[in-house]
Parts: sequence; C-alpha cells; structure tokens
Amino acid sequence: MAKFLTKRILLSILILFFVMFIIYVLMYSLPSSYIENTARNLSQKPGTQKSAAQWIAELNAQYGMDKGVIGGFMTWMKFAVRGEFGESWYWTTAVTAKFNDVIWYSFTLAFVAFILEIVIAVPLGVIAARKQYSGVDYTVTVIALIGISLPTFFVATILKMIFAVKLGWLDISGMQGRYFLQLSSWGKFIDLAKHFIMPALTLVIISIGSLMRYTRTNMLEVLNADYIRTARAKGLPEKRVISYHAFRNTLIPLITILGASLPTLFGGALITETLFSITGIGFTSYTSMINGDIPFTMFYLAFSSVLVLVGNLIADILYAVADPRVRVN
Amino acid sequence: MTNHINDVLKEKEAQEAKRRSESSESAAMKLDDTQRVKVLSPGRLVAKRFLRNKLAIIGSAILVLMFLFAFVCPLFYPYGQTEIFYKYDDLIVNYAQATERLDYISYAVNGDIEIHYSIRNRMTSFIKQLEEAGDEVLDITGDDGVSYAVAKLGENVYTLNTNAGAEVAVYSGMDSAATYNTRIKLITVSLPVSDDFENAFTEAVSAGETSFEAGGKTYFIISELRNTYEAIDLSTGTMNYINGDLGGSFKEAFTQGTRTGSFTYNGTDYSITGDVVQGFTVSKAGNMTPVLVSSRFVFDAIDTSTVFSDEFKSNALIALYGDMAFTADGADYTITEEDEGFLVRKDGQAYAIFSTFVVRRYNGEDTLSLDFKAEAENAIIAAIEAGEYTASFIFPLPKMNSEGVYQTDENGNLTSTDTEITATFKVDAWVMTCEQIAHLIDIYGPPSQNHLFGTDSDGFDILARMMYGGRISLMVGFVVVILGCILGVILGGIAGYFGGWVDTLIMRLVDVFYCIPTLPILIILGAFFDDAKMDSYTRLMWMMAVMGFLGWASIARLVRGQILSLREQEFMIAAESMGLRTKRKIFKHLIPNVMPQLIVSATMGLGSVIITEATLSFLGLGVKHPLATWGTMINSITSSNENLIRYAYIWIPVGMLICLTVIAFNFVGDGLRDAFDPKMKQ
Repeated sequence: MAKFLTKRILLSILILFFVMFIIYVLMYSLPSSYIENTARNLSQKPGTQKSAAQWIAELNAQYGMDKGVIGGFMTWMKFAVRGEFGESWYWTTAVTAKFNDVIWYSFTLAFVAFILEIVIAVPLGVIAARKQYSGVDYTVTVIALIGISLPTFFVATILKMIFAVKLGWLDISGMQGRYFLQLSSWGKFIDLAKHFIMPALTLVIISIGSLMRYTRTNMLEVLNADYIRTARAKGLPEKRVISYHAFRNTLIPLITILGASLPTLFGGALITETLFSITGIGFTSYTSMINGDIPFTMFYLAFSSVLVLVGNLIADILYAVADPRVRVN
Repeated sequence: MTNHINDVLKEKEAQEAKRRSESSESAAMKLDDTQRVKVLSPGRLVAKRFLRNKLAIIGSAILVLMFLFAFVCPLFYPYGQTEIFYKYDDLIVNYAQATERLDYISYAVNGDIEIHYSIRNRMTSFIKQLEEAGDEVLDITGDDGVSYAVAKLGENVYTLNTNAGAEVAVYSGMDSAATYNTRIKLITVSLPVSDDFENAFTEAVSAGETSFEAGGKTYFIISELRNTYEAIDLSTGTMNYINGDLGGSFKEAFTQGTRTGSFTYNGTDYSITGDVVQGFTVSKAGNMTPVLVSSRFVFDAIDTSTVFSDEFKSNALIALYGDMAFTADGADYTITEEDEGFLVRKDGQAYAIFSTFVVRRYNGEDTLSLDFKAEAENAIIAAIEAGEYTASFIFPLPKMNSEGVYQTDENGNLTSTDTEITATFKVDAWVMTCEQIAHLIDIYGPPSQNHLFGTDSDGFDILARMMYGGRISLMVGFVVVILGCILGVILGGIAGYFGGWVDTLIMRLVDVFYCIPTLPILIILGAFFDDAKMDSYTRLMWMMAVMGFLGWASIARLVRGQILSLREQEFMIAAESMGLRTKRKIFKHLIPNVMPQLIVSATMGLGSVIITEATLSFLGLGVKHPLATWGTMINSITSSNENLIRYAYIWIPVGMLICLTVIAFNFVGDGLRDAFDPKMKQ
C-alpha cells in the first residue's frame, strides 16, 4: 500500500509539474502589450500603492517574463513551491491573503450544496433502481437528464426571477442585506445564510442529476449481482436485501466518487458565485481573470489543478482501500 | 338513401370481421416455424432498441426540429440576424425653447466702417460698465487709438459711436525742453526757454499738473522715470494734415486748445485726442456717429421666411428711440408700440416685431409662427407670475401621420392638429416639449405579427436571432466535439494499440490535459480577446479550437480503454494471424468497434459543449455581438431586475431552447448507450 501510495503521489507531482508548465506557457504567450495595458489600467485604481512599472518589474522578477520559457518557468516554480504567489494586481493584497479571506465562503457554499445533493440524490437513485422501468424510475431518469442539461446561468436567472423579483423573499445577489451592519451577530448569520439559499439551490439543481444517475446505475449493477440473487433465494426480506446487502455494496463506488470530489469543494463555483456575487474563490478569480490580474489568475489555475490531482489521488486511494485487486497492480 | 349508406357500412364491417378472423388463424404458427424467430443484424438490433426508447425518440424529434429551426428556417425567414428594425412612435421631443434675451447682440450700421475687434468684442462688458455706473455715455479708446463712445440710446439699446473717418490732422514730433529731477532739485535745460520757465515748471510739478505755460509756450509734463520730470515743448511738433492744409493759424488754435482737448477754428469745432508722447489727433468734433447698435431685442418676422439685414435691424433700433420711422434697404418703415413688443410696419402692414423674449425652435431655427410665439410668451409669463416652473398651452402644430410624414389637405396645405405643449424651466430657458411621431429604432418591441418574439435592445428581430443563435450553438458543438474526437481517437488509438512507453507517455499527457481547468482558461482567453478587440468571427474560431484542443483527453482515455480490451479478443487474433497491416487493423477492425462508445460519448459531449459556449457567451466572453448566440441574448436582458420580468418573453424561450437542445442530446446519447449495450440497461 505504501509503495502504491508513493507511486501515485510521485506521479501526481509529475503531472502537476507539466500542468503548471502548460499554464505558464499560456500566460507567457500573452502579448506583453496586453500585460502592460492591464497593469497600467489596474494601477490607476484607487488604493493602489505601486505603479504599473513596479508591477511589471515584480512580475518579471517572480514569473521570469523577461527570460526564456524554460528559465521563466523555473523562476516561477521556485516561488510557487514555497507558496509565494506575489501581490494581486486587482485586489492589491498578497494573493494568498486574499485567498484566505474568500476560500471559506466558497467552501461553506459548496459543502452545503454537497450535503443537500447527497441527501436528495442517493435515495432517489436507489429507489429508481429498485423499481426499474416504473414511473418513479422514469421520472428520476428524466429529472437527472434535465438536471445535467440545465445551464447554470439559466437556473440562476430563473431562481432570481422567482425568489428575488417576483416573490421578493431573497436578495437578488450579494452576501449582505441592506441593514446587515445593524444586525446582531445571530441576525448577521441568518442574513448571510439567506443569501446562500439561491446559490446553494442552483448548485444542487445542476449537480444532482449526475449523482442520481450514478447511484442508479451502480445500484442496478449490484442488484443484478449473484449475491443478491443468493440473498433473495435464502428468503431474506426484500427490505434487508436492499438496505443491507445491496446498498452497502453500492456505497463503495459512491464513496469513492464523493471522496474524489471533496477537494473540488474548495475550488469554488466559478459561475454560480459570479452570478450571485458571492465573494468566494470562484467570484474572486473570475473578477481577477476578466481584469487581467495575472498573479491571482496564475495562483487560481495552479490551485485548481492541485485540487483535481488531489481528487484523483483520493479516488485512487479509496479504490485501493475498497478493492484489493487494485493494490496488487 | 340513408338506408343505402347503412347497408354499405354493414357490409364493410362484415368483410372486415371476416378478414380479421382469417388472418388470426394463419398467424397461429407451428413451433418450428422460422418466422417465429426474427434474426436481425446488429445494426438493426441497435436501431430497434433505440426506437423502443421513448426518451430517445423524444430527443431525436427535438433535435430534428432544432436543426430545422436553426438551419432551414432562416432560409425562409425574411429577416437576418443583424437587420435593424425601425418604427414610428410618439416621442416627447423638445419642440421649442423660449428665453428672455439677456445678452446683447451687435449689428453694424454701416458695414464699410471697420471697427477694431478690441472694441467690437467688448461691447457687452462696456454696456455692463455703463449700466453699473448708471451713466449715459462711456468714452473709450481702442487699441488702434481711435476714440469711441458707448452711448445708451434707450432701454435695451446701446450704440457705439465714433468719429472714425473725421480726423483732419495729426500733430507729433515734439521735443523735450528740460528735465527736472525732484530729488536733487536740478533742472537741466535742453532748449532755449524763458526766464519764468523754471518757476512755472517746478510749480506745475509740485501741483501735479500735466501741463503749464511759460513764455507764451505750452509745455506738457511727462514722467518716465521716478522723480524725473520732463517738460515737452508743444510748439516743436509738426502738423500733418490728412485732407489738405487748413491754414496758418490752425496750429495756433490747436496749441491753445490742447489743454482743454477742443478748440474752434473757422467756425468748426475740433476735438483733440491722444497725448504728447503718441502725438495728437485732431478730428472734427461733434461728429460721433453710431457705427454699431447693440440690443437685447430680437426680431421676429410676421412672415417667417423674411430674413432681416443688419442694416434693417440697426436702423430700426436707432429709430426706436428717435422718430419711430426709418429707412433701410430702400424701403420705409414705421414703428408702433404694441402689447407684444414693438411692431414694425412696412407700408402700413405689420412686418416684424421685436421684443426681448425669444422663442425659437429647439435647434435654434427661427421658423415658428408669430401666433405660437405669442401663445408661448403668454403662457410662460403667466407661469412666471404665478411662481411656477411649468406652463402648458395648446397650439395647432402640423400633423404627422403614423409614418412621420407631414400630412397635407387636398390643397397641399399642411393640416394641423391641436397639440399640448408643455414648457418647463430648465437652467436658463423654458424648454417646450410635445409629443411627435418620430422614426425610431424599434428597441424591445413587444411580440407582434411582424416580430413573433419582438425585438431586442438593438432593434434586431428576436426570432431571427434565435435561429442564427441556434446555428452557432450547434456549429460550435459539432466542431468542438469532432475536433476532440479526431485528436482523441488518434492519440487514444495509438496508446491502446501500441502500449508500452507510447501508452504511458500519451496517458500521462491525458492526465495532464485532464487537470487543466478549461473554463478558467476560456475566460482568460475571452478577456484577452476583449482587450485585443478581436473580430467576432476570428474569436469564434479561436474559441472552438481551444475547446476542441482541451477536450480530447476524455475521448482518448475512452478509446484507449476500449482498444485495450478489444485487442485481446479473438477477432483481433484472427486479424493478426492473417497478417493484416497495422493501419488496416486499427482503422478497419478496432476503430469501428470503438464507434458505439465514441458516438455515445460525443453525443453527451455535444450537450456540455453547448452549455459551455452558452455560459461563456452569457458572461460576455464567448461569441460576440453582432453574431447572435443564445447565451448573449439572455445576457442582454438579465442586466437589470426590471428587465428580468418585463422581457421574460425573450429570455425564457431562449433559455428553453438551450435546455431543450442539451436535453435532447442527452436523451439521444442515453438512448444510444442503452441500445448499444443492453446489458447496462438491465
């Protein structure tokens, strides 16, 4: 197991190295006029301490933009490995400081949506599999497919129209109500929570479909397994067959895929956060990206690649834990 | 007849029943009848299974409709995606404005006399000086040395008078007779002087006078340095006559008159201007004639086509405080005072009117009728007296039909309609507004017969843009997926077939590409394209290329996995033993067997590519105006809450189109998966 783990981790680091390289090349090939323009525009923002020339100089120092691709990449890696990502142009603070400010909003939002998703999707998937070809199954299948097919922005806009504009229950976007500062700390919490309702709902709606399908498919597979037939042949009550023998076996792939998606909870929901102005990592990096804030963008790209790799690693480990055959190979 | 029909029907029914019973007998087949087992080719089997799937059928139907909608409908639909529509609509226009004229406009009396710009341009400030001082006349000298006088003729009328052109002589070239330094009390004499000169000089200096007489001569004192005074002998100068010599004693008369500034010679009054340094100018006095008339009055013609000359205006203004009659441009006029202002009559007929209240079309043209002006003035003055800032009145304005063309009656005269005109005081003028029919871009037109879904913020037809947007979405989807498939099949095929280090290398590359965050990269590129102001077609191409390039990894992984398992199967061993070429083995035997999975994956992928494109366009970073896409169409509406409700009939159908397309692709993909691999469906 230790050997397997070491191998996977080393491989992940290697992959990360190349991903970083591709990202670096991408940024490196941005025309310098674009970089200078954005630096100049952003340096005019109020509260900026440095001039555009200083930024460019810092960028060259940290990202080696004035060196060759390989040399520049090595320069950047030297800093990135130590967790130094420089100062954000748009937010005018250290990139990592900004990251610390916003990451927990993202995590909270994603985590709430994640829990809701599991609570809704898994039981529905199991029920659909149990009663294959029934009305319930069809409904679940169709809902799952529709959920996969809905664009985030459309769901968000519809929710906004219903809950914010028509009914007026929730604020259309943002994280704080108008009287936030006058509220007690409990009131502030409730206010914040209210602003998370629509984003969380959006995330649940668009991601529930795939988990539902996944659960259903796996449950069907398990239900067709020989040991289920044996259990039924033994004369076990159907309830026990489903909830004990079948469901437990369905859990193995489920836990694997859910475990693998744990790191993505930190990745932020780029579109959803942007549409609802939730100042999480997704919205922050979206703003950085469209404003050409290179230090923050590079950090975010690197960060999300790491998250994907960690997710893959977790999936590998969980597979290995669940299935001894994987460990051998 | 009725019987007959009934009989026929009965007969038919009986035949039908007989035929049915016969066929059921023949359908009872024997057990070993070959008809009992229907053997279908694998392709037909898949087709049959696919057709049995209701969702897949619904999906296919939606897709067919969507393709017809996006690719065929535009051919028959009369409007293009960037065709701007106009409409005629009531628009509140600024029709006219009225203001109390506060500044003075100058009119030249005689265009031949040139007035120095330093004077002409400062008339307003001279008038102001006069008004502040409460004087009647202000004497001024222009930068050219000519003397002028601004005189108040009457209320609101001032004239600039000059005797320019009446100069008779210039006297200059005077010499210094002595200098006197007050500090050291020293007088230095440079010309022969009389005995009493020194006394007179020092007295004049201490008295602060500018001239004195000594020994029958006149001296002027100038002081160019501190404590040093110079006495200039007037008699040393020379007289230059402008229009001929005026006689020997003219100079004497002049000398006596220099200190007072005027003198009389041969019964004519002369005035002297200038000083001892510059030289004196002698002009005929009392000859100050008006050359410029400045007035607040504005002339309004009775017949709006009349254009007034400056001569008319200036003469009228001068006559106003004179004999109320004048001649200009060869015609005689008289002025009478009326309620609305001063009326100028030509041959007894009303010709023009002038007052300080200006009413003009909003663009400054003076084409309004006198009645309108009077009406406007009455309404506004009433409002001012009542202390209000709005006034309204009704006046017949020329009528326009719904297409914005002025309507005429059978005689060719403009017909007019009573229009309510509202005058509002804004900063310094009363702006009169009224509703008029205008030719406008039809922005956010509601659904109508011509535009089934109305028009958008650019006056484009929504339905047309939906069609063209569908084209772009479907095209982007197909191009990206096909690009990804080509790359994926080639690389996945190579990896799966050859295995070994090639496989390892390609699979690590797949891992790397799996890790690259696609959406952020597309957003960065979008922001960069925005900055580079890239052409919308070019950036569409770039977007498709990048999406295709980043999307091959999953296809490659799928193809490789599939080929790895196929490679071990018997038919491949057979192919191997037959000694087929590698190329043939891959493309003839392996790839076709990968096709089912590939098609399923591509179909599902199409949906997600369309979503990505729509999302990018929604964020304004994808396909750009003027190209229509569904994402942009929604984005243009949802910028404000109000629009969200008001234009729900635009964005909801467009959003439904996106959803329907993607759902249809997913239904078909799902159906295909089940059809290809029935085991999964169990």
